[in-house]
Amino acid sequence: MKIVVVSSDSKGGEMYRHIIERNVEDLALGSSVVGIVVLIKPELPLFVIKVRYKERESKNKLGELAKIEQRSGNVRIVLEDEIDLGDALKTLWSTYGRDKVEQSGRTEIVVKGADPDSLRELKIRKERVSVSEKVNELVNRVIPEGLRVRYAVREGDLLMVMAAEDPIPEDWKRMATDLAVDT
Amino acid sequence: MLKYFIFEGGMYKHEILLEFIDDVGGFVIQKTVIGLDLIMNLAIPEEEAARLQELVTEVNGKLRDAPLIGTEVAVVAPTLSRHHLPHPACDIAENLRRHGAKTNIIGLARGVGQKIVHTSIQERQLIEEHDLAVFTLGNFEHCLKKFKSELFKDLSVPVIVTGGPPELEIEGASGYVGGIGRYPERARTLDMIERLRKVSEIAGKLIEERRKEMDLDPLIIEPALVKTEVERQVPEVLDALSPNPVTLKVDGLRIKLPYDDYKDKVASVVVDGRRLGEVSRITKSLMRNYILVRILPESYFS
Repeated sequence: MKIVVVSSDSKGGEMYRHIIERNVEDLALGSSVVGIVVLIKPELPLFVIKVRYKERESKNKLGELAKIEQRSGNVRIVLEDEIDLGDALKTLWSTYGRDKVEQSGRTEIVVKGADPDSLRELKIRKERVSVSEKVNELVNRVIPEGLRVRYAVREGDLLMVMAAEDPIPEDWKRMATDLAVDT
Repeated sequence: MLKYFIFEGGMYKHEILLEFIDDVGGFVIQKTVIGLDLIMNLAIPEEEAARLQELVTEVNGKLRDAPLIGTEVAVVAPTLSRHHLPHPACDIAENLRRHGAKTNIIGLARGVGQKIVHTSIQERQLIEEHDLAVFTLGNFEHCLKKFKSELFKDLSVPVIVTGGPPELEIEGASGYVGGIGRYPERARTLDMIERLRKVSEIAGKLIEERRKEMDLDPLIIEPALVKTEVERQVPEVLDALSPNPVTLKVDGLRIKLPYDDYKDKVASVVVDGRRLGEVSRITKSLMRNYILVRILPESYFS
Protein backbone atom coordinates (compact mmCIF):
# COMPACT_ATOMS: atom_id res chain seq x y z
CA MET A 1 0.00 0.00 0.00
CA LYS A 2 1.39 3.37 -0.96
CA ILE A 3 0.25 6.58 0.72
CA VAL A 4 1.01 9.90 -1.00
CA VAL A 5 0.23 13.15 0.79
CA VAL A 6 0.46 16.41 -1.14
CA SER A 7 0.01 19.34 1.22
CA SER A 8 0.73 23.05 1.16
CA ASP A 9 1.53 22.67 4.89
CA SER A 10 4.24 20.02 4.86
CA LYS A 11 4.30 19.34 8.64
CA GLY A 12 0.51 19.14 8.83
CA GLY A 13 0.57 16.83 5.80
CA GLU A 14 3.03 14.48 7.50
CA MET A 15 0.79 14.29 10.56
CA TYR A 16 -2.13 13.36 8.31
CA ARG A 17 -0.05 10.57 6.76
CA HIS A 18 0.35 9.21 10.28
CA ILE A 19 -3.40 9.56 10.97
CA ILE A 20 -4.17 7.62 7.76
CA GLU A 21 -1.69 4.84 8.59
CA ARG A 22 -3.12 4.36 12.10
CA ASN A 23 -6.72 4.34 10.84
CA VAL A 24 -5.92 1.80 8.13
CA GLU A 25 -4.45 -0.37 10.90
CA ASP A 26 -7.44 0.15 13.22
CA LEU A 27 -9.91 -0.84 10.50
CA ALA A 28 -7.75 -3.83 9.47
CA LEU A 29 -7.70 -2.56 5.88
CA GLY A 30 -3.98 -3.14 5.28
CA SER A 31 -4.50 -5.94 2.78
CA SER A 32 -7.57 -4.43 1.11
CA VAL A 33 -6.33 -0.91 0.37
CA VAL A 34 -3.97 -0.71 -2.60
CA GLY A 35 -3.10 2.98 -2.58
CA ILE A 36 -4.15 6.30 -1.10
CA VAL A 37 -3.48 9.82 -2.32
CA VAL A 38 -4.37 12.91 -0.33
CA LEU A 39 -4.34 16.56 -1.38
CA ILE A 40 -4.53 19.12 1.42
CA LYS A 41 -4.87 22.88 0.97
CA PRO A 42 -5.79 24.43 4.32
CA GLU A 43 -5.75 27.93 2.83
CA LEU A 44 -8.76 27.20 0.54
CA PRO A 45 -9.75 25.05 2.58
CA LEU A 46 -9.83 21.79 0.60
CA PHE A 47 -9.15 18.16 1.49
CA VAL A 48 -9.18 15.46 -1.18
CA ILE A 49 -8.68 11.79 -0.46
CA LYS A 50 -8.64 9.07 -3.11
CA VAL A 51 -8.52 5.43 -2.07
CA ARG A 52 -7.98 2.50 -4.42
CA TYR A 53 -8.96 -0.82 -2.85
CA LYS A 54 -9.74 -4.45 -3.61
CA GLU A 55 -13.32 -5.56 -3.05
CA ARG A 56 -13.24 -9.03 -1.52
CA GLU A 57 -15.03 -12.17 -2.58
CA SER A 58 -18.01 -13.14 -0.51
CA LYS A 59 -16.82 -15.79 1.93
CA ASN A 60 -18.58 -16.57 5.14
CA LYS A 61 -17.53 -20.04 6.22
CA LEU A 62 -14.51 -20.34 8.50
CA GLY A 63 -13.15 -23.13 6.30
CA GLU A 64 -12.96 -20.72 3.34
CA LEU A 65 -11.36 -17.94 5.33
CA ALA A 66 -8.72 -19.76 7.36
CA LYS A 67 -6.40 -22.74 7.62
CA ILE A 68 -7.77 -25.10 10.23
CA GLU A 69 -5.65 -27.84 11.80
CA GLN A 70 -6.01 -30.12 14.79
CA ARG A 71 -3.23 -30.24 17.39
CA SER A 72 -3.40 -32.44 20.48
CA GLY A 73 -7.12 -32.02 21.12
CA ASN A 74 -7.13 -28.34 20.21
CA VAL A 75 -7.93 -26.75 16.87
CA ARG A 76 -5.68 -24.01 15.53
CA ILE A 77 -7.28 -21.50 13.17
CA VAL A 78 -5.06 -19.22 11.11
CA LEU A 79 -7.08 -16.53 9.34
CA GLU A 80 -5.93 -15.37 5.92
CA ASP A 81 -7.01 -11.80 6.58
CA GLU A 82 -7.12 -9.82 9.81
CA ILE A 83 -10.36 -8.20 8.65
CA ASP A 84 -12.22 -11.42 9.62
CA LEU A 85 -10.79 -11.62 13.14
CA GLY A 86 -13.54 -9.68 14.94
CA ASP A 87 -16.40 -11.65 13.41
CA ALA A 88 -14.58 -14.98 13.85
CA LEU A 89 -13.91 -14.36 17.56
CA LYS A 90 -17.47 -13.18 18.17
CA THR A 91 -18.95 -16.32 16.55
CA LEU A 92 -16.52 -18.70 18.25
CA TRP A 93 -17.14 -17.12 21.66
CA SER A 94 -20.90 -17.46 21.30
CA THR A 95 -20.61 -21.05 19.98
CA TYR A 96 -17.90 -22.52 22.25
CA GLY A 97 -17.74 -20.09 25.19
CA ARG A 98 -15.01 -17.64 26.13
CA ASP A 99 -13.01 -20.10 28.23
CA LYS A 100 -12.51 -22.44 25.25
CA VAL A 101 -11.48 -19.83 22.69
CA GLU A 102 -8.14 -18.10 22.89
CA GLN A 103 -6.53 -15.65 20.48
CA SER A 104 -2.91 -16.75 20.31
CA GLY A 105 -1.67 -14.36 17.63
CA ARG A 106 -2.70 -11.49 15.42
CA THR A 107 -4.57 -13.83 13.07
CA GLU A 108 -4.44 -17.02 15.13
CA ILE A 109 -7.15 -18.52 17.30
CA VAL A 110 -7.03 -21.74 19.31
CA VAL A 111 -10.29 -23.52 20.17
CA LYS A 112 -10.10 -26.19 22.86
CA GLY A 113 -11.89 -29.49 22.28
CA ALA A 114 -13.68 -28.51 19.05
CA ASP A 115 -14.36 -30.65 16.00
CA PRO A 116 -12.38 -29.29 13.00
CA ASP A 117 -15.05 -30.30 10.46
CA SER A 118 -17.84 -28.43 12.23
CA LEU A 119 -15.49 -25.44 12.56
CA ARG A 120 -14.95 -25.49 8.79
CA GLU A 121 -18.71 -25.21 8.25
CA LEU A 122 -19.18 -22.46 10.84
CA LYS A 123 -20.52 -19.24 9.33
CA ILE A 124 -18.94 -16.22 11.00
CA ARG A 125 -21.43 -13.65 9.68
CA LYS A 126 -24.74 -13.42 7.90
CA GLU A 127 -23.70 -10.90 5.28
CA ARG A 128 -20.48 -10.61 3.32
CA VAL A 129 -17.82 -8.16 4.42
CA SER A 130 -18.04 -4.93 2.56
CA VAL A 131 -14.61 -3.42 2.11
CA SER A 132 -16.19 -0.38 0.53
CA GLU A 133 -18.12 0.33 3.75
CA LYS A 134 -14.90 0.14 5.71
CA VAL A 135 -13.18 2.43 3.21
CA ASN A 136 -16.04 4.93 3.70
CA GLU A 137 -15.44 4.73 7.44
CA LEU A 138 -11.70 5.29 6.90
CA VAL A 139 -12.35 8.36 4.78
CA ASN A 140 -14.77 9.82 7.34
CA ARG A 141 -12.29 9.26 10.15
CA VAL A 142 -9.50 11.01 8.26
CA ILE A 143 -11.24 14.06 6.74
CA PRO A 144 -11.11 17.08 9.10
CA GLU A 145 -14.44 17.43 10.83
CA GLY A 146 -14.91 21.10 9.98
CA LEU A 147 -15.02 20.48 6.22
CA ARG A 148 -18.68 19.58 5.87
CA VAL A 149 -19.37 20.18 2.19
CA ARG A 150 -18.58 16.86 0.54
CA TYR A 151 -18.39 15.63 -3.03
CA ALA A 152 -17.86 11.91 -3.48
CA VAL A 153 -17.32 9.80 -6.59
CA ARG A 154 -16.95 6.03 -6.69
CA GLU A 155 -15.64 4.46 -9.87
CA GLY A 156 -15.23 0.71 -9.51
CA ASP A 157 -12.57 0.16 -6.89
CA LEU A 158 -11.67 3.84 -6.55
CA LEU A 159 -13.30 6.18 -4.07
CA MET A 160 -12.68 9.92 -4.22
CA VAL A 161 -14.03 12.27 -1.57
CA MET A 162 -13.55 16.02 -1.62
CA ALA A 163 -14.28 18.06 1.49
CA ALA A 164 -14.47 21.83 1.84
CA GLU A 165 -16.33 24.50 3.77
CA ASP A 166 -17.93 26.16 0.72
CA PRO A 167 -19.62 24.64 -2.35
CA ILE A 168 -16.93 22.94 -4.39
CA PRO A 169 -16.23 24.63 -7.77
CA GLU A 170 -15.85 22.61 -10.97
CA ASP A 171 -12.14 23.39 -11.45
CA TRP A 172 -11.36 21.93 -8.01
CA LYS A 173 -13.23 18.79 -9.02
CA ARG A 174 -11.16 18.56 -12.21
CA MET A 175 -7.96 19.08 -10.22
CA ALA A 176 -8.97 16.27 -7.84
CA THR A 177 -9.91 13.94 -10.69
CA ASP A 178 -6.45 14.41 -12.22
CA LEU A 179 -4.73 13.17 -9.04
CA ALA A 180 -3.33 9.74 -9.72
CA VAL A 181 -3.29 7.01 -7.07
CA ASP A 182 0.07 5.22 -7.13
CA THR A 183 -0.13 1.55 -6.31
CA MET B 1 2.01 33.17 49.99
CA LEU B 2 1.44 29.42 50.09
CA LYS B 3 3.71 27.13 48.12
CA TYR B 4 2.41 23.81 46.81
CA PHE B 5 4.24 20.48 46.87
CA ILE B 6 3.69 16.80 46.21
CA PHE B 7 5.26 14.54 48.83
CA GLU B 8 6.02 10.95 47.89
CA GLY B 9 7.33 8.61 50.54
CA GLY B 10 6.43 5.98 53.10
CA MET B 11 3.90 5.95 55.92
CA TYR B 12 6.76 5.55 58.41
CA LYS B 13 7.17 8.71 60.51
CA HIS B 14 4.92 10.75 58.24
CA GLU B 15 3.21 12.12 61.38
CA ILE B 16 6.28 14.35 61.80
CA LEU B 17 5.40 16.02 58.51
CA LEU B 18 1.70 16.36 59.41
CA GLU B 19 2.63 17.98 62.70
CA PHE B 20 5.03 20.37 60.96
CA ILE B 21 2.47 21.34 58.32
CA ASP B 22 -0.09 22.02 61.04
CA ASP B 23 2.38 24.05 63.14
CA VAL B 24 3.38 26.36 60.29
CA GLY B 25 -0.21 26.94 59.15
CA GLY B 26 -0.07 24.74 56.08
CA PHE B 27 -2.67 22.34 54.67
CA VAL B 28 -2.79 18.75 53.51
CA ILE B 29 -5.00 19.02 50.44
CA GLN B 30 -5.07 15.38 49.44
CA LYS B 31 -3.65 12.29 51.09
CA THR B 32 -3.45 8.99 49.20
CA VAL B 33 -2.20 5.82 50.88
CA ILE B 34 -1.23 2.95 48.57
CA GLY B 35 -0.05 0.02 50.68
CA LEU B 36 2.88 1.39 52.65
CA ASP B 37 3.39 4.31 50.27
CA LEU B 38 2.01 7.75 50.81
CA ILE B 39 1.37 10.57 48.36
CA MET B 40 0.35 13.91 49.81
CA ASN B 41 -0.59 17.14 48.05
CA LEU B 42 0.23 19.88 50.49
CA ALA B 43 0.55 23.63 50.83
CA ILE B 44 2.79 25.50 53.28
CA PRO B 45 3.91 29.12 53.63
CA GLU B 46 6.73 29.83 51.16
CA GLU B 47 9.27 30.70 53.88
CA GLU B 48 8.89 27.23 55.49
CA ALA B 49 9.78 25.32 52.31
CA ALA B 50 13.46 24.78 53.27
CA ARG B 51 12.54 23.33 56.68
CA LEU B 52 9.97 21.05 55.06
CA GLN B 53 12.65 19.81 52.63
CA GLU B 54 14.92 18.96 55.59
CA LEU B 55 12.16 16.94 57.26
CA VAL B 56 11.32 15.13 54.01
CA THR B 57 15.00 14.15 53.59
CA GLU B 58 14.95 12.89 57.18
CA VAL B 59 12.02 10.53 56.45
CA ASN B 60 13.59 9.44 53.12
CA GLY B 61 10.80 10.90 51.03
CA LYS B 62 10.70 13.01 47.88
CA LEU B 63 9.30 16.49 47.54
CA ARG B 64 8.53 18.19 44.25
CA ASP B 65 7.10 21.58 43.37
CA ALA B 66 3.53 21.33 42.12
CA PRO B 67 2.05 24.77 41.53
CA LEU B 68 -1.00 23.18 39.91
CA ILE B 69 -2.24 21.79 43.23
CA GLY B 70 -5.41 23.59 44.20
CA THR B 71 -6.32 24.45 40.62
CA GLU B 72 -9.07 23.28 38.31
CA VAL B 73 -8.06 23.16 34.65
CA ALA B 74 -10.39 22.82 31.64
CA VAL B 75 -9.01 20.76 28.75
CA VAL B 76 -11.07 21.87 25.77
CA ALA B 77 -11.37 19.80 22.59
CA PRO B 78 -12.91 21.27 19.40
CA THR B 79 -15.68 18.62 19.45
CA LEU B 80 -16.48 15.37 21.20
CA SER B 81 -15.94 13.27 18.06
CA ARG B 82 -13.26 10.64 17.58
CA HIS B 83 -11.28 13.13 15.47
CA HIS B 84 -10.31 15.05 18.62
CA LEU B 85 -10.82 12.60 21.46
CA PRO B 86 -9.60 10.71 23.34
CA HIS B 87 -5.87 10.89 22.71
CA PRO B 88 -4.62 14.50 22.78
CA ALA B 89 -7.14 15.74 25.36
CA CYS B 90 -6.83 12.76 27.70
CA ASP B 91 -3.01 12.67 27.51
CA ILE B 92 -2.77 16.35 28.37
CA ALA B 93 -5.34 16.00 31.18
CA GLU B 94 -3.49 13.02 32.63
CA ASN B 95 -0.19 14.89 32.65
CA LEU B 96 -1.79 17.92 34.31
CA ARG B 97 -3.21 15.65 37.00
CA ARG B 98 0.25 14.18 37.60
CA HIS B 99 1.34 17.72 38.39
CA GLY B 100 -1.46 18.20 40.90
CA ALA B 101 -4.27 19.81 38.90
CA LYS B 102 -7.90 18.70 38.87
CA THR B 103 -8.99 18.52 35.24
CA ASN B 104 -12.29 18.54 33.38
CA ILE B 105 -12.52 17.74 29.67
CA ILE B 106 -14.93 19.89 27.69
CA GLY B 107 -15.98 19.20 24.08
CA LEU B 108 -17.26 22.22 22.19
CA ALA B 109 -20.26 22.03 19.87
CA ARG B 110 -18.63 23.89 16.97
CA GLY B 111 -14.92 24.24 17.60
CA VAL B 112 -14.05 22.94 14.12
CA GLY B 113 -13.61 24.46 10.67
CA GLN B 114 -12.61 27.94 9.61
CA LYS B 115 -15.99 29.61 9.14
CA ILE B 116 -18.25 27.81 11.61
CA VAL B 117 -15.73 27.84 14.46
CA HIS B 118 -17.08 29.56 17.59
CA THR B 119 -17.88 29.11 21.27
CA SER B 120 -21.33 29.80 22.68
CA ILE B 121 -21.90 32.03 25.73
CA GLN B 122 -22.64 28.97 27.86
CA GLU B 123 -19.46 27.24 26.73
CA ARG B 124 -17.41 30.34 27.56
CA GLN B 125 -19.04 30.61 31.00
CA LEU B 126 -18.33 26.95 31.67
CA ILE B 127 -14.67 27.35 30.69
CA GLU B 128 -14.39 30.48 32.83
CA GLU B 129 -15.47 28.50 35.88
CA HIS B 130 -11.95 27.02 35.72
CA ASP B 131 -8.62 28.59 36.68
CA LEU B 132 -7.01 27.89 33.31
CA ALA B 133 -7.97 26.38 29.96
CA VAL B 134 -5.94 24.21 27.58
CA PHE B 135 -7.28 24.12 24.01
CA THR B 136 -6.22 21.05 22.02
CA LEU B 137 -6.28 22.12 18.39
CA GLY B 138 -5.29 20.63 15.04
CA ASN B 139 -2.34 20.32 12.69
CA PHE B 140 -2.47 23.19 10.22
CA GLU B 141 -0.66 26.48 10.87
CA HIS B 142 -2.93 28.52 8.58
CA CYS B 143 -6.03 27.26 10.35
CA LEU B 144 -4.70 27.82 13.87
CA LYS B 145 -3.24 31.25 13.22
CA LYS B 146 -6.11 32.79 11.31
CA PHE B 147 -9.27 31.23 12.67
CA LYS B 148 -8.93 29.47 15.99
CA SER B 149 -8.32 32.45 18.25
CA GLU B 150 -12.08 33.00 17.85
CA LEU B 151 -12.50 30.19 20.39
CA PHE B 152 -10.66 31.81 23.27
CA LYS B 153 -9.82 35.45 22.61
CA ASP B 154 -12.56 36.80 24.95
CA LEU B 155 -11.97 34.38 27.81
CA SER B 156 -11.08 35.85 31.19
CA VAL B 157 -8.93 32.86 32.22
CA PRO B 158 -5.41 32.20 30.89
CA VAL B 159 -5.35 29.93 27.85
CA ILE B 160 -2.71 27.49 26.62
CA VAL B 161 -3.06 26.22 23.07
CA THR B 162 -1.62 22.96 21.74
CA GLY B 163 -1.33 22.28 18.03
CA GLY B 164 0.69 20.58 15.30
CA PRO B 165 3.07 23.38 14.14
CA PRO B 166 6.26 23.41 16.26
CA GLU B 167 6.11 27.14 17.03
CA LEU B 168 3.32 29.66 16.68
CA GLU B 169 2.08 32.99 18.01
CA ILE B 170 -1.68 32.92 18.52
CA GLU B 171 -3.71 35.94 19.48
CA GLY B 172 -5.43 35.52 22.83
CA ALA B 173 -3.31 32.60 24.06
CA SER B 174 -0.90 32.94 27.00
CA GLY B 175 1.14 29.94 25.88
CA TYR B 176 1.55 27.58 22.93
CA VAL B 177 2.98 24.06 22.79
CA GLY B 178 3.68 22.61 19.35
CA GLY B 179 3.86 18.99 18.21
CA ILE B 180 0.61 18.02 19.95
CA GLY B 181 -1.92 18.39 17.17
CA ARG B 182 -4.51 15.89 16.12
CA TYR B 183 -2.97 12.45 16.61
CA PRO B 184 -4.58 9.03 16.60
CA GLU B 185 -2.77 7.12 19.36
CA ARG B 186 -1.66 7.39 22.96
CA ALA B 187 1.44 9.48 23.59
CA ARG B 188 4.13 6.92 24.34
CA THR B 189 7.41 8.31 23.05
CA LEU B 190 9.71 10.32 25.32
CA ASP B 191 9.45 13.18 22.86
CA MET B 192 5.66 13.32 23.15
CA ILE B 193 5.70 12.96 26.93
CA GLU B 194 8.19 15.83 27.11
CA ARG B 195 5.71 18.00 25.16
CA LEU B 196 2.91 17.06 27.55
CA ARG B 197 5.20 17.97 30.44
CA LYS B 198 5.81 21.33 28.80
CA VAL B 199 2.06 22.02 28.82
CA SER B 200 1.99 21.35 32.59
CA GLU B 201 5.11 23.48 33.08
CA ILE B 202 3.56 26.49 31.29
CA ALA B 203 0.30 25.94 33.19
CA GLY B 204 2.26 25.96 36.47
CA LYS B 205 4.01 29.24 35.55
CA LEU B 206 0.71 30.92 34.62
CA ILE B 207 -0.92 29.81 37.87
CA GLU B 208 2.08 31.02 39.91
CA GLU B 209 1.86 34.41 38.18
CA ARG B 210 -1.84 34.59 39.03
CA ARG B 211 -1.17 33.69 42.66
CA LYS B 212 1.54 36.38 42.88
CA GLU B 213 -0.91 38.93 41.49
CA MET B 214 -3.53 37.82 43.98
CA ASP B 215 -0.99 38.17 46.78
CA LEU B 216 -1.12 41.95 46.31
CA ASP B 217 -4.76 41.80 47.41
CA PRO B 218 -5.12 38.41 49.09
CA LEU B 219 -8.36 36.51 49.62
CA ILE B 220 -10.06 37.17 52.94
CA ILE B 221 -9.84 33.42 53.76
CA GLU B 222 -7.52 30.78 52.32
CA PRO B 223 -9.56 28.37 50.07
CA ALA B 224 -7.79 25.36 51.62
CA LEU B 225 -9.11 26.38 55.05
CA VAL B 226 -12.63 26.77 53.63
CA LYS B 227 -12.34 23.27 52.15
CA THR B 228 -11.51 21.78 55.57
CA GLU B 229 -14.41 23.61 57.21
CA VAL B 230 -16.90 22.66 54.46
CA GLU B 231 -15.93 19.01 54.83
CA ARG B 232 -16.39 19.29 58.62
CA GLN B 233 -19.63 21.29 58.70
CA VAL B 234 -21.36 19.83 55.60
CA PRO B 235 -20.55 16.11 56.06
CA GLU B 236 -22.92 15.15 53.19
CA VAL B 237 -20.18 16.26 50.81
CA LEU B 238 -18.04 13.31 51.89
CA ASP B 239 -20.75 10.95 50.64
CA ALA B 240 -20.87 12.55 47.16
CA LEU B 241 -19.79 10.06 44.52
CA SER B 242 -18.05 12.63 42.30
CA PRO B 243 -14.26 12.60 42.30
CA ASN B 244 -12.79 15.28 44.60
CA PRO B 245 -16.19 16.32 46.02
CA VAL B 246 -14.68 19.58 47.27
CA THR B 247 -12.36 20.78 44.51
CA LEU B 248 -9.95 23.59 45.31
CA LYS B 249 -9.59 26.46 42.90
CA VAL B 250 -7.20 29.39 42.98
CA ASP B 251 -9.87 31.76 44.26
CA GLY B 252 -12.41 29.39 45.78
CA LEU B 253 -13.96 25.96 45.58
CA ARG B 254 -16.33 23.79 43.61
CA ILE B 255 -18.57 21.81 45.94
CA LYS B 256 -20.12 18.83 44.21
CA LEU B 257 -23.55 18.95 45.85
CA PRO B 258 -26.82 20.17 44.25
CA TYR B 259 -26.96 23.98 44.47
CA ASP B 260 -30.67 24.28 45.27
CA ASP B 261 -30.53 21.82 48.17
CA TYR B 262 -27.27 22.88 49.80
CA LYS B 263 -26.58 26.54 48.97
CA ASP B 264 -27.94 27.78 52.34
CA LYS B 265 -26.05 25.17 54.32
CA VAL B 266 -22.82 26.05 52.50
CA ALA B 267 -23.46 29.77 53.03
CA SER B 268 -23.84 29.22 56.77
CA VAL B 269 -20.50 27.38 57.15
CA VAL B 270 -18.43 29.34 59.68
CA VAL B 271 -14.76 29.88 58.82
CA ASP B 272 -12.53 31.95 61.10
CA GLY B 273 -15.60 33.34 62.85
CA ARG B 274 -17.28 34.52 59.60
CA ARG B 275 -20.18 33.03 57.63
CA LEU B 276 -19.03 31.81 54.23
CA GLY B 277 -22.02 33.55 52.64
CA GLU B 278 -20.64 36.90 53.85
CA VAL B 279 -17.10 36.47 52.56
CA SER B 280 -17.74 34.81 49.23
CA ARG B 281 -20.03 34.70 46.20
CA ILE B 282 -21.91 31.41 46.07
CA THR B 283 -23.32 30.64 42.62
CA LYS B 284 -24.72 27.74 40.63
CA SER B 285 -22.21 26.03 38.36
CA LEU B 286 -23.11 25.18 34.78
CA MET B 287 -21.57 21.79 35.47
CA ARG B 288 -24.30 19.57 36.93
CA ASN B 289 -25.70 22.36 39.16
CA TYR B 290 -22.74 22.09 41.51
CA ILE B 291 -21.97 24.91 43.94
CA LEU B 292 -19.26 27.42 43.05
CA VAL B 293 -17.70 29.44 45.85
CA ARG B 294 -15.58 32.47 44.92
CA ILE B 295 -13.90 33.95 47.98
CA LEU B 296 -13.72 37.74 48.04
CA PRO B 297 -10.43 39.66 48.37
CA GLU B 298 -9.49 41.66 51.49
CA SER B 299 -9.91 44.99 49.64
CA TYR B 300 -13.64 44.26 49.31
CA PHE B 301 -14.05 44.67 53.07
CA SER B 302 -11.77 47.65 53.69
